[in-house]
Amino acid sequence: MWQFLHKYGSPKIFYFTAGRWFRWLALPSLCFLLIGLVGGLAFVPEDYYQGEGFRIIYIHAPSAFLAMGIYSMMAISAVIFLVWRIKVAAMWICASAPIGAWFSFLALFTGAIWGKPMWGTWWIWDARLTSALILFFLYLGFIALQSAITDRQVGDKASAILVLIGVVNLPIIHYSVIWWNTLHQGPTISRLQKPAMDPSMVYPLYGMIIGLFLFYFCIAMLRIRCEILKREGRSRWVEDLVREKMARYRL
Amino acid sequence: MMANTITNFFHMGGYGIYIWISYAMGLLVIALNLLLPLWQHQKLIKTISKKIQQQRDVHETYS
Amino acid sequence: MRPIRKKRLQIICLMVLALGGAVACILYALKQNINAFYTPSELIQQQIVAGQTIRIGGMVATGSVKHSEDSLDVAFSVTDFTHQLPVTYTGVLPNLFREGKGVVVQGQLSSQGAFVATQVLAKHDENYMPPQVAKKMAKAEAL
Repeated sequence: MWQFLHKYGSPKIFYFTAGRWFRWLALPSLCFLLIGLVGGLAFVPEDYYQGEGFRIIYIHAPSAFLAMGIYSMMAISAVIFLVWRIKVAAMWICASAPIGAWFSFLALFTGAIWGKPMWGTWWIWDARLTSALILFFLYLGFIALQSAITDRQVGDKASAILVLIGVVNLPIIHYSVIWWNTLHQGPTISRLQKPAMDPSMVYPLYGMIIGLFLFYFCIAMLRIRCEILKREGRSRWVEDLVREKMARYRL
Repeated sequence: MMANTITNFFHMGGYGIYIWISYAMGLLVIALNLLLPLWQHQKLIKTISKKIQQQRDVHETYS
Repeated sequence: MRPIRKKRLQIICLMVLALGGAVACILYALKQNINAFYTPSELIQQQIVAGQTIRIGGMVATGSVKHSEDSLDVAFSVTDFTHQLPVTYTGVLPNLFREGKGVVVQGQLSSQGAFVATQVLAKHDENYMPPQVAKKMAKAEAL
């Protein structure tokens, strides 16, 4: 039953699989992002209350979703790594962390830009904004821990545990606007309810979310290839691969 | 008429600067996320190929 | 699943549950401090001294906004539909400040029981719709 984990867990097989997946996912990701971008900027009508300013939601909410989604995937990989000791799972975490850091930064940045004209402030220490900032710091902490420990095995284990510790922050971010009084508004789209957004406005939001998640898988594939090269640089198949590339590109 | 529509589009009802900064930062983050691993991959291949070259040189001097 | 892996999985689950429980307790104990503002009803239950800086949040009561004619002074009431709190403020209001819409004000209670705001923030909700739809909904509500 768990056989497939071990098959795809082999770095060599995964290196080539990752390259193929990147090529398959790149175009759909781009299409969905374009639907979101053009729809959100040009085709969706303005909001009755916030006017044109609400268009920032099409970049802010999807990047916040992605930042949380990446963290949950890192947590799942951490469990797989700690229980089954599958190397690719550890590499997946390492490949995901920088992408998560970038997108949580983007969510905070666009949130501040949106807050200034709408709320009247860049920042407020309410539960939602603070927990989102903590998510950003968790990503940075993970990257720092990874680069601080030179022993790969110890580093992988320690950072997987750090990921699992940080997982309590995810429900806090999601429910912060419900549990406490916050300046941040409640969720516009959630899994169980109809979106609190007019149907004519919602499709670029879905386009952006799907596009960004596909983009994450794409980029994680590229990063995991780097991670495999870094870790398996001395193994036979990597040397063969590099030799082949050398032969192809400069005689 | 056409020029007016374009100006309006960039003006965004007075929120233009906020919207365009947000979207510019979004595109920048997406572009960087794509380029950084590509560069890193190239650099890694170069480092490994250099190592192979060195090994070959060492091998040749001894044989 | 092999026994060693099962054991590792159990340890991980236990660790996450224990940590989650601990954090839940801490957050529950700190509940009041995590709130970004009090509603007018919550304010009554609190022991707030005049001059202490706090935030109050709610809706701007309909018909309560009074602008001064020769200065930036403005007076309005913040309501949560059970209690109301009169607020005075001097300065420029945010664009989204409107009667019947959300607001968060920061400032101090005066000894007369009114609230003197030093900062006014607009709080919008999670609903988005085109102006025509909003108009239709307002009409439907009025009927």
